[in-house]
Amino acid sequence: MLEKLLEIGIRKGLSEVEVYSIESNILSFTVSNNMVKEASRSRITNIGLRGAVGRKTGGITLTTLNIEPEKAVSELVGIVNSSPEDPYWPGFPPLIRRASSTTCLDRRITDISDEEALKLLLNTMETLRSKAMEKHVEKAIVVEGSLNLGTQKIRVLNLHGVDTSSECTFISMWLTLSAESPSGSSDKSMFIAKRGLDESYILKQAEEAGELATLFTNAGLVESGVYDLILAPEAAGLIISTVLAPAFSALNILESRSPLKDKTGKQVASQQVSIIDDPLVPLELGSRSFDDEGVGTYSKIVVDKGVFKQPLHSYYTASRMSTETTGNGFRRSPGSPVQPGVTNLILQPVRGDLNSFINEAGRALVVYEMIGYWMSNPVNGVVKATVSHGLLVEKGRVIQPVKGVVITGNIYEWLNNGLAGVGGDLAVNNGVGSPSLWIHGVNVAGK
Amino acid sequence: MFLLEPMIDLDYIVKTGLELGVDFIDVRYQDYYYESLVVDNGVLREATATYSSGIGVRVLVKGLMGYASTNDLSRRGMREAVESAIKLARVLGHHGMEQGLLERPVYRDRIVSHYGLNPENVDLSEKVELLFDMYKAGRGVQGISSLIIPYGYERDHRIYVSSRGDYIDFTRRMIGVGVRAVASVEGRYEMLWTSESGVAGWEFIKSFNWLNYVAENSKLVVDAVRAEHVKPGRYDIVLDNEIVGLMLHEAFGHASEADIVEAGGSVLGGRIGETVASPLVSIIDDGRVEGGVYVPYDDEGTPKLKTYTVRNGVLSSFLHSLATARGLGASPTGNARVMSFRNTLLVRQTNTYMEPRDWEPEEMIRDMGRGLYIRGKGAMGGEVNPLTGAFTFTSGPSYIVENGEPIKLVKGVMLSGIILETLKNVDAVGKDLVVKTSVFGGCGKSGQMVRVGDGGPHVRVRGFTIGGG
Repeated sequence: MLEKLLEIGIRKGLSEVEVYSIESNILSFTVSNNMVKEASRSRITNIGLRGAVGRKTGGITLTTLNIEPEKAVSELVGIVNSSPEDPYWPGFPPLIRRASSTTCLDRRITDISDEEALKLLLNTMETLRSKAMEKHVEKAIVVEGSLNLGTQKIRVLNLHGVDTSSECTFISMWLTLSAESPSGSSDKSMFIAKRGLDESYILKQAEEAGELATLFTNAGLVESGVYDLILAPEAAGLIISTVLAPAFSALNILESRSPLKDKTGKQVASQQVSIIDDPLVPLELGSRSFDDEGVGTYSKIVVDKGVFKQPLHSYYTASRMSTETTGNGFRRSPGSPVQPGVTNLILQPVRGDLNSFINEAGRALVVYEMIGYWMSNPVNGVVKATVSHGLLVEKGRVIQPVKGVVITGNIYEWLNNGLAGVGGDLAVNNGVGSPSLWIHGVNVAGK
Repeated sequence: MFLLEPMIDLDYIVKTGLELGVDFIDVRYQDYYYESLVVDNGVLREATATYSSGIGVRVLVKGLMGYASTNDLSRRGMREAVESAIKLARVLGHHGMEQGLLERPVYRDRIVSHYGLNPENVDLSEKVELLFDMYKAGRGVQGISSLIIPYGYERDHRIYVSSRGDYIDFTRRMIGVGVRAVASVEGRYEMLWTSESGVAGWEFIKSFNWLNYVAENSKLVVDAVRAEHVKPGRYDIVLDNEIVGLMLHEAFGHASEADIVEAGGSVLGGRIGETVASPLVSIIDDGRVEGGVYVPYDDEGTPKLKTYTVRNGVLSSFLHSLATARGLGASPTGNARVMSFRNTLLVRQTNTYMEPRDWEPEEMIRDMGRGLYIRGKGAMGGEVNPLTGAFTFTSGPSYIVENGEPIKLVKGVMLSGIILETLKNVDAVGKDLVVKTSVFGGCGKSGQMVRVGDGGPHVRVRGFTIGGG
């Protein structure tokens, strides 16, 4: 089918054609109130077809097998011909191989039975509950959650010789535990998203979440003011990926939507800050040997000891900036144009960890979970987040659990003069890696 | 149109399920089209059409629920989906939650949302020309460094059939245009993302002055670059009617979704009949309100009723699917929704808004004297943790109020509240109800995004926690 679409495209007058397909097979379970509420399986094929006539381009996405290929391509030709020219359009990429490749397929996922997957979920729920019960709570309930796992077969073809395919697996699990004790209720969530199934890692995450679940009973506001902020690795990773990942995009830099415009080679953060984009880490969510244009990927330093080394490129942006693509072209949907994006974005560890920061800091707000962090602004680096699970600590002692306070600031100030420590406790999850971060002088809105 | 004429015999799927021994089966067929055009700094960055079709099957086997979905619409593909759903239901065994669906009358209906001019019949070049004209009008504003103009149109055709005998055939068209502007002044940057959408056809586009719209919003973001941050702390605020619905959606909407309540994940669980807000506050979920997303039936074929979740400050109802209504002993409200045929049913909001009262907005601000006038244009959205009760949302550029007058523009802020506390501090509700929806986004829950609407009149809240941004 895919080759046929290419052939029809040429026959119907397109000067260039690219086909992208993704076949997914996903098994899911949903959890409600300690029980598994439902199970589902989804088998879907998506095809993206992009074409060009000269510098005019367009695309269609087909999440349907119910098509007449000739007419589908005619639709695409109509879109392309009605589009104005993109003066920067360089064409689809040629075959660009890179020496490196990574593992994104885990046979433990492809071979797992429905029953075994259910057992994994049940074991994790039980671990979460039993760890909390060890803290002498009266009741521990996994209130909500889900397990999703499966395979994705991706293939990219174009007329310049690109024909890459890969089969990758993934697993995501999210569970929220509610723990009730005589003094009140508390809760904690765990979330993992990887390409590999490592049951011991999953159970370790469940143990940690179960242990933390009792810490947030009777959480409330703290006084508004300026605090030291200590971000647990997961919270730090979410802020970094929200605010910095879009800023690294060469397209956003070219189009004046990134504060890193004209900053290549310049110091943008403290020397403690080094960030890599690494698609070659085995079995992480962003692990890929080829990007969505079929270009080989490789590991690259984006920020080296505080210096912004290079933006992330697709073939299009690399052409506009007269450089080589970094293999970071990804799509929103199969028929969409590619844009630069991250693979696994990892802030490199330095020294110390969450506990040592808590012990060293005077008075500090420790943040484990946040809501609304994704509304931070990558255009100017402004961070905004509301703390849902936090602790006010002083010299290593917990003063009170915290929720409902808003933390604000600017990521570039936090990672420069505000930076008190980058931990050594790197945690990689959901395609983002970060150790704990300790930041001075953060605005906190509370009472 | 290049799709093969759908020869989909949905009754075959129901019949197959019953033959294979299910107690109940329903099928969601979806045929979906989305047109996306994006002009990015004078270049047509995207011209993409998306076609999607497939079926989602749900079965109940001895009280256990299994789902399967596929876009293989051959008889073999459909039969395999039914078999897969049955197998998964059985896999759950004694670990599965035993469920049932509330008995209700059978519904058979066919509805097409109103539209005047079908956007699919409008030439692509006319749409592109509008976006480029908007780009030029916005880019002419001094200080604008980047401008994206997106156009979106969707036709969402869904057919629901069940072994109960339901047959609901519903098509909804939505259309809209947005502005994503970045201003740069003296090395400082600010961004504003706003859009206007409607359940309508091309006439919605023709009836709106988009050039003024882009120019006004471009000026607003340039002014916002120069504006100061608000000092973090607690403020008395007046929320305008573009943002009050966002607060309600986060503060009460999600916590009133009965699947969360049933799971034990909502602070509102077990509180029906309790006072949870000021007596001035009545919150409604309605699938047919003017300006909102049109949801006459939910995705399990139940009519979407106008539902008061809070009436005069008292928690009066949760939002239900047939399963949660049965489980919690309530009446169905028509809130079971899916993002697409691929997804499992969740309880979702439709249009969340506050019932208007009798204050004039200006009177409310004047009476407040000092505080903040929180504006919705440019708000990015919100989020809630319904278990802890913490919720948050952002605003667009807003105003400091002194001596009863909005005197000074400030940058957008982040607001934070606690479900069982914040709305008790509402002390004035306006008369100016506005409800809006969007074809560019919606509400996310458990990985599913559905179109929603929200709104209300101007509302005043005392002592809100504000982060300065």
